[in-house]
Amino acid sequence: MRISAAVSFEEFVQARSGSLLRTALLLTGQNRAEAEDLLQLALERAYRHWSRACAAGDPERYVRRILANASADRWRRLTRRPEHQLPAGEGPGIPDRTAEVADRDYLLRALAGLPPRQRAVLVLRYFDDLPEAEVAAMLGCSLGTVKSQAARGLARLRVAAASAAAPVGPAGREHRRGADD
Amino acid sequence: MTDIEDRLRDAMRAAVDGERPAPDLLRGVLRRHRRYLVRVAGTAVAAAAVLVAVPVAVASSLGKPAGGTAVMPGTHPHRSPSSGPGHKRHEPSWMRGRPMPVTVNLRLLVTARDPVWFTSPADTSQPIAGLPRSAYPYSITRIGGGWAAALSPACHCQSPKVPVYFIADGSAVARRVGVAQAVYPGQAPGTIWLQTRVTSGRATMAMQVTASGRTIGSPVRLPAGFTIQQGAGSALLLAPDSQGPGTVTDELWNPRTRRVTRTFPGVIAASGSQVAWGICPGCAVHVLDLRTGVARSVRVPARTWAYDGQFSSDGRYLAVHLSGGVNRDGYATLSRIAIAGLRTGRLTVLPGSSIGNDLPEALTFGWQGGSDTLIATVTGRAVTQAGLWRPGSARLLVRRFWLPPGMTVVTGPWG
Repeated sequence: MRISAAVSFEEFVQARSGSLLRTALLLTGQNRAEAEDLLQLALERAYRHWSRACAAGDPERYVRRILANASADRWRRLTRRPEHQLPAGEGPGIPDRTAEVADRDYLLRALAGLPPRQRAVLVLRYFDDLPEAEVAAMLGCSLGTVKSQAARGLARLRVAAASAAAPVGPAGREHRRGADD
Repeated sequence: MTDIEDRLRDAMRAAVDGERPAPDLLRGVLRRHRRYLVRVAGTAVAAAAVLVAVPVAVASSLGKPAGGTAVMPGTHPHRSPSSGPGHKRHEPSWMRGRPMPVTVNLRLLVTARDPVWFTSPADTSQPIAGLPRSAYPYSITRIGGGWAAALSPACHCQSPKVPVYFIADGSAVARRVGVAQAVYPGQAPGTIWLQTRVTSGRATMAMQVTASGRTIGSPVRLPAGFTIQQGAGSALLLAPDSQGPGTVTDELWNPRTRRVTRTFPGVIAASGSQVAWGICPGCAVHVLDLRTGVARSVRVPARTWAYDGQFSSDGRYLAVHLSGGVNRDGYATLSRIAIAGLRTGRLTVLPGSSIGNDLPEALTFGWQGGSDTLIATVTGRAVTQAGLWRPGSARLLVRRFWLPPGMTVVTGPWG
């Protein structure tokens, strides 16, 4: 069985797996083990149809689409990680001396708390810098859905960021990373 | 662009900047793909069982009272509560056998960041001289007479050619044999094929070397899209780089004439002088002796299939993974070891070697160098179990031991 592929799978993995892993990390809320497993899963699925992936002319897009969709499906199955909204005023962390670092940390954890589809839209749109139409094609939804999901996701991040910036009251509780686990 | 979008973009980039996948990512993908192929084979068995079962069930129910439940004799799939992809146990089931006497001294190659020899029952480890320290575990490949250890690449770059070392069976010294991107066993014991893709073009070159690093013959340019699996006689057994779903067909390719002389669908095992193939449900395992051209067949039990085998060093035996029953989802419920005697053409399941298939990668095995002793290991979370078998033995000898965290015994073709 001889399959002529424009790019060998091995070459593709060597060249692009770093970038794909970074996307996977964001899709899984920076859980390294989950991200590596998700990336492996996406690459294995692409490997099954590698000639088809190459025939489309852009194997990375093919793999990225599997990655984004598999992450949503995967999180749907993983009931041990129920999605939850971040209640206003109860951020998982408080700004410390390094406000910038804390802000990033807070945003990323708020991102990880978004529903998987919303998170995938934000990661593809703002990390991978894909146009909205391309995100819609990748996730198999309409352009309007991408726009609304992005808007809702950003709105929730804004609320979360604003609550994080709010001063802690006299009876305010301090929430440290992992304290709620 | 709003403030929150910029902040989110910055946060995401800063969070994952510089992250790289583990160097053994490709190996993990291929391992996962192999499990997928085994599952596909299992689904085919289940489908075949249903096709056979339905007429039997209809015929049986004709003689039963109305409302009675039709029983499909011999076809009801055995369903293990721990089987299938959705259920992951924390520990594999263990092999069963007679306790291994303390007089049996096991010396096992163990991968940590650097490979070491682990000795049981003394529970001591001995470093191997000549191997540079590595940030990631070495890639280990079984070579006749020893092991090839490839240093993990320091970067995840386009052409991570890495130094390759040879560790003779039991030796505490490794010897550098060259650099390569991939390593495969040669035809003779102690010979190694070093494979490298040429950066400037799409050609893949391969060079055979001895255990001391001396080159054998001229470099060979492989057909595009193929990679070496094994040096086989005067030829090379090649597999396609890109494999679609279904059975993968390997080719026996003559580097002198640059022609394919034979194809093997579903290769189970290969050595320098023999190839076994036929990884499909209910198929006999075919074995071709490349020196004599004589082919034999070994029958496997109904509704099972053999996969991932290894020939003994004297070529008299072929050890294979043998699937067990099939559950309702088409997954094998068991994985066990079977030995094919190539003179007798008989396949014998090793008693006590069955483990649940929820952790199929937990069971590995290989022939100890220069002997006809098979050593199998089951890797649990903290405990490793070793099983020893010799031809003629009725049962396995088993022993459990604890390895330091991060260490894994290598008994199979690679680790």
